[in-house]
Amino acid sequence: MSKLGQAKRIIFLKTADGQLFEVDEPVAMEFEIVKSFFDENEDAADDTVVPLPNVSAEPLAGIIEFCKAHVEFRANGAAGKDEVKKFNAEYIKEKSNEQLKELILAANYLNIKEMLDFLTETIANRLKNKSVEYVRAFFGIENDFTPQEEEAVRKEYEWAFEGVDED
Amino acid sequence: MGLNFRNDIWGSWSFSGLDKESEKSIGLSCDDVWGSWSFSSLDNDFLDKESKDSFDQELGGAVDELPMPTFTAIIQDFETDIGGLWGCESEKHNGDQKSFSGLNLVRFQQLKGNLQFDKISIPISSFSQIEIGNGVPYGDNSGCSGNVNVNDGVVCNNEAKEVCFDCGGGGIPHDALFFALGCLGVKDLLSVERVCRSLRDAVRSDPLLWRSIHIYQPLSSKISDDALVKLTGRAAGTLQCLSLVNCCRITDIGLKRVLESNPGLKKLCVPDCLKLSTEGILSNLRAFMSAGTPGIKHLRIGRQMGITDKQFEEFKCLLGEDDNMQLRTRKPQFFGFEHLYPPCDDDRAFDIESCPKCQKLGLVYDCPRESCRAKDHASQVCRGCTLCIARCFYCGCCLEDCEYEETFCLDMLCVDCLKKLVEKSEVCFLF
Repeated sequence: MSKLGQAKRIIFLKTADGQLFEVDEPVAMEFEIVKSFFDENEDAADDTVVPLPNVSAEPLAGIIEFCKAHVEFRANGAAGKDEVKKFNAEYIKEKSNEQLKELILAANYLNIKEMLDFLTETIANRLKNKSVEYVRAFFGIENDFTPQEEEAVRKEYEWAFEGVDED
Repeated sequence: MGLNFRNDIWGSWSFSGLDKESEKSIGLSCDDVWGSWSFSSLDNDFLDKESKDSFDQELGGAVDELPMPTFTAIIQDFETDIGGLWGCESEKHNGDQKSFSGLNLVRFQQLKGNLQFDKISIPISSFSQIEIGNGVPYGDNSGCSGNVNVNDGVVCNNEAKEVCFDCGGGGIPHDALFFALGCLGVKDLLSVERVCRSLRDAVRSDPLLWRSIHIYQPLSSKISDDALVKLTGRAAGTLQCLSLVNCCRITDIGLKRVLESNPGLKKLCVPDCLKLSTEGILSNLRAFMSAGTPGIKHLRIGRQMGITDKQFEEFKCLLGEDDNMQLRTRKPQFFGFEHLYPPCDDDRAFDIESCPKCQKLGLVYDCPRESCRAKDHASQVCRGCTLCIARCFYCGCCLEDCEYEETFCLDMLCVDCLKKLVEKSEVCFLF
């Protein structure tokens, strides 16, 4: 592992679609899966390529961008401040639902808790206070209930939805 | 290992795939209304890419030892093979091209704690009985259901909660959505449950989603005793935190029923529940604590009228509150609309205390104003019940040396908040 004073170590990551990423060590160590890879193989050579067979290039690029910024925030002692919130808001603003979903799966696979928490909360915020029809349309979900089932599930907690405004 | 599907309408059909003896082949037989048909040695490609050993091992329940890509690849192969297979065989036997089209949809999907074969859901813990829903169009008589017996236990993986596969295809909720369920409140969970089957099953079958239940507007005025008991039942006894804000239909008896079935409850927050009485809460708490449970550690009762000194002492005793600790860890409590019932996340055991100014029991508030908090002389600290220190009902700051307005409801509103509200044009209802 890198020691103080050494040149910045680069970690090589290879995605499912065969792209090679070069990532600074502190950023790559945000990924629990990469960290444990090196913890288990302590004598791994510096140019070892870590395969990430469940992540493709696009979400990984997004994740690296996010983690890089957060590593810097932490280094500057800005963690938890408005600056971070602003970055997060900007970061998520330009992501479509599809991208967001891919990011979540990738962040889950790479096991980056901080990012996963942030992303799931974002998805949750997009679900909050929405009607069933809106959620189906927004996330492209098909209604696979039979009419009887739908009626049953609707009836069960009907009291909770009385007098709810439509979107 | 083999899969045997029994189906009332179709007679019996079985997968005897993944046989240890016949490597790289699946056998599948089906007795249906048109007679019996069987498949064997279906696809030599199946399992070609993966070693048979690893698949057997996986099906034996050790999937967590396998790298995920292996499993995904197998599943995808399996999907293609089975799908293609059924499609072509059904044409041969039936002549009706439409009849098996639905089976191309057979899909394996790992959901929270469930292994899902698209329409087939297998709870991780038991593999003896599996339901096939009736969504798959089997020929013209769509809507058949039956039991599936799985002999050896298919893929059993408790780690799988965290692992998702999606074999593509529209209409099915993306796995990422299931992660988000943990961040949703009661009302949104109830709403999401109406979206589709897999979300319904995910919401209903995961007690962890219901471990902490907060009921506030707009549900609070609607929830009844029975509804609350049913809702808390979803936690399957794991309920830890229950917060009922202004639930005016909940009675002492309803609360008793909830407490009885949730011995693990640690936090109870029932402010402004008008049908709950101080004595009722106290006797519920007494019964709850004597049942040998770990007990409630945090209680919020809000503006309960007329709590006596004796009741207060008993509450404190039941909650095991230590006076010194309370002073040390106390977070400031603010009055006002903006701070109304934050989630009970502070360490205090009990929200009622005696007002430092009038010594009466009730809710005691600190002042959010910087200048007031800076004062360090105990006698001058801006801290007291709402009768001793008048506060802005919106921001909670004291109204000393500050202009304020009185609203129609006789609440005080400081000028700063008035300006803010005017800007947001929310002020009209106040006057």
